[in-house]
Amino acid sequence: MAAVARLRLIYSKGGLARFLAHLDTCNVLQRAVRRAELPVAFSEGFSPHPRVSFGPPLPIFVEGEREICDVELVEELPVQQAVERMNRTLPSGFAVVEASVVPLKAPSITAAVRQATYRVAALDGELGVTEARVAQVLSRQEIVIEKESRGARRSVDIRPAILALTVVEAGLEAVLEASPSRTLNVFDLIREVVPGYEPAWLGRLAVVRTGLALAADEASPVAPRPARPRVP
Amino acid sequence: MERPARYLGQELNSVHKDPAGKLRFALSFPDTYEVGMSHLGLRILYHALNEQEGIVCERVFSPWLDMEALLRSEHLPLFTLESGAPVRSFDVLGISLPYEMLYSNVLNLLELAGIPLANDDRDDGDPIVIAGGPACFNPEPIAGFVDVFVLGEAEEAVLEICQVVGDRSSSRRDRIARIGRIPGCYLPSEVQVGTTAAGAVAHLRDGAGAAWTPVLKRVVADLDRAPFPTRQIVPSIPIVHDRAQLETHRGCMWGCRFCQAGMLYRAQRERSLSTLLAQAQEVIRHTGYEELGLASLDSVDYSRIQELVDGLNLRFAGKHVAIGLPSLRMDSFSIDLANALQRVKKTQLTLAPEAGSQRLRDVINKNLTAQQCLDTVKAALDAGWRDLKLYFMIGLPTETDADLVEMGQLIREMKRLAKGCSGRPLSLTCAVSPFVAKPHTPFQWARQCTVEELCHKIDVLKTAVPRHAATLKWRQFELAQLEGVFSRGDRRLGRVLRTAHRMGCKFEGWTECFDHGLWMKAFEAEGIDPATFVHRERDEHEAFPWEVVSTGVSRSFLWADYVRSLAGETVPGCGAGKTCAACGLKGRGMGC
Repeated sequence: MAAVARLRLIYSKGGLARFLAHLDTCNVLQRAVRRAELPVAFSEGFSPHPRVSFGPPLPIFVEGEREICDVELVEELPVQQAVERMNRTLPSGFAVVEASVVPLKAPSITAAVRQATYRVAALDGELGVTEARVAQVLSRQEIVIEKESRGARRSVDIRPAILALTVVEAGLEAVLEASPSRTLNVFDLIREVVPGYEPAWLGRLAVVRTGLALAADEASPVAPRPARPRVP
Repeated sequence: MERPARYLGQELNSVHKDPAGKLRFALSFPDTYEVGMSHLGLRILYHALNEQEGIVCERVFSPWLDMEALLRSEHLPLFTLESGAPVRSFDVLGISLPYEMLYSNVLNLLELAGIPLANDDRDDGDPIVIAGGPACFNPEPIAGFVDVFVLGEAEEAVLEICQVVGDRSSSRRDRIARIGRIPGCYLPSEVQVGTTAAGAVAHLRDGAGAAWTPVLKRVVADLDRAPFPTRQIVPSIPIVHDRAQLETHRGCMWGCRFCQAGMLYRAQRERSLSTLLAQAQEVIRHTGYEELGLASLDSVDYSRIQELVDGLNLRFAGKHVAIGLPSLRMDSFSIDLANALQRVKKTQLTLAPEAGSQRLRDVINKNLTAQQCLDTVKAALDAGWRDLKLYFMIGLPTETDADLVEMGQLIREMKRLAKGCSGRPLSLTCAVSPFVAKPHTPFQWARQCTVEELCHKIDVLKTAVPRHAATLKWRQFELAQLEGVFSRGDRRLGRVLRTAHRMGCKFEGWTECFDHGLWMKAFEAEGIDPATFVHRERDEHEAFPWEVVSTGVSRSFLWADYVRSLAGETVPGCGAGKTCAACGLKGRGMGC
């Protein structure tokens, strides 16, 4: 059956669920959509798959406050009902916080996404990133790091992908580019900004992606919102 | 760390209870999370225990090497997934043992939990360690590490055990003694094993010096009333069998002589069609799984399989739930059934002729002719399958090179059937596994081939099965040798196990971990020759260490069946309309 509507779910992923990799997260949500009995559309062909699509992967260890997932439906249903049904069946660590209907023809999340906002804090006190440090990072013309992908090492300038960097009370807030042409992994930024950072620190950090911004021509841009109660 | 999600315990449908005032049961499967969570028996017990208000049951699996290193370096005790509480703080540690090659992991698990390895060394601060599962039908190699063995189907016995454990007024020792009086429970401390000069078992006596009465396994008589989880845990990471499961029946009526499960799970008992259809609906509703597997030893044997499949198709039509049959008999009805289930996508089809020649198939009582094999392959080709996997065993009793040459002929004939068929060419994969003689089967007397003999057989097969006809696959034979040793070993092996554990042996089922050389060093250090357990034909009257327990199938039946086997005589399967082969089960409350 052909899809008649596209439901956009804004969900949070936190607590122990932050240790789930992207593909596992997709599975968890797809199965939740099935349990919630949302009238999801299926792809054609030899192995039909539910037409559920996701935003840019959230790295392991990072919580997400407003992640996006699109569900194509073969019949319409009240948005609030969809939210309630999902929340009744999502496993611990996941919650749908908001939903809306977007046009079927709207670009996919991966095509429309432009920016991601992160908040980085230390669990046991100070992160140690000062205004001066931030200013120093932002003043650099280029920040070249070594990346390894598929066994090949290459140098990447990450400076253009750092759109904003601010010291806030909780630690650090960063707006990073996350577009089809360029994305910046938040840990690449952390390595550059947090003094003396080493991987063993991971357990001491609280990294949260607070929102994803989609291109302006999108039906419902999902900008980060100001402080609000955390979903347990 | 690799896949941290293995240790989170927050999966959908996992049970989290306040432990205050409750009996705490740690349920373990001594392999990785992905393997352990695929085991239906574990899921059944988890839910049966948690259904009880007074019991909280939490899971624990063997931590993978990276997690183990972390636990050891940080001096952290092994913990359960649900609450993260130390395993040692539980009242009971239940260990599921479906196969022998988990023994080294059992010892490692006890050590990581901080529980003394030897059952003699434990005190009131330690949980009562119970073990169950098919491997426990020869409990002797691990008799020194387990307090109580539960034989057979444990869902009822385990609740009876919990009742005794829950009585905290008596000591640990007293409670274990009381558990020993529960049917199906075997206390290794109660049997006196008399040994020969060479150290083998000479006789088994009880405390009073009388001949030991083997502990008879438990059987659930009415599967419709047995607990079955419909709120099955949905792991957040892919596991080995990542699907919802339905259990159609237990037991198998065919009596293949190599198959231990066929002997252990007798008699065949079914769930009713209405129960299964209702459970199917519930389990899909509660899990959201896209596949439902029908678990049993031979799904096609379910008496109303056609109605079941039709009913499931009807219920899940349009819901995109695939129905999976894990095992197929080699007949065209099975192919029709599989075809009805996989109407669009034809993935690999697995068939098990087990042996290549008619003579050898009669020896193992497979009740299958070459013509049936070919008809099955023809039916699969006609239905559109082009990818077949065939299971064969080598090293079976009486096998000669001529049998292997015949296997090659059979495979070539199968390949020839595909000529003239439209579409892709037929791809045949032959998975060859070495025969392991198992206790409580007619082959418990039989000799197992050495690794050298098996290698020779592979050489014969390589010539008999040309590369263009089929791909031959086999795994290292050393592991099967070791499995054979522990399958038919005795209490002396406990020492070897301890030494091997100390040397670092673990995760035997994982090629990257299995170290055969290390095991051989452990045998040498303990002065025990592994060959004596496997590479000799046993005498008709030899006392067997595993006869401390009983499956209900009599020794006289097994011997008679072994003699028949060597003469190439078959016995028909049991069940409606067939002659009873008098295996010894009838009239013993075993569902027969």
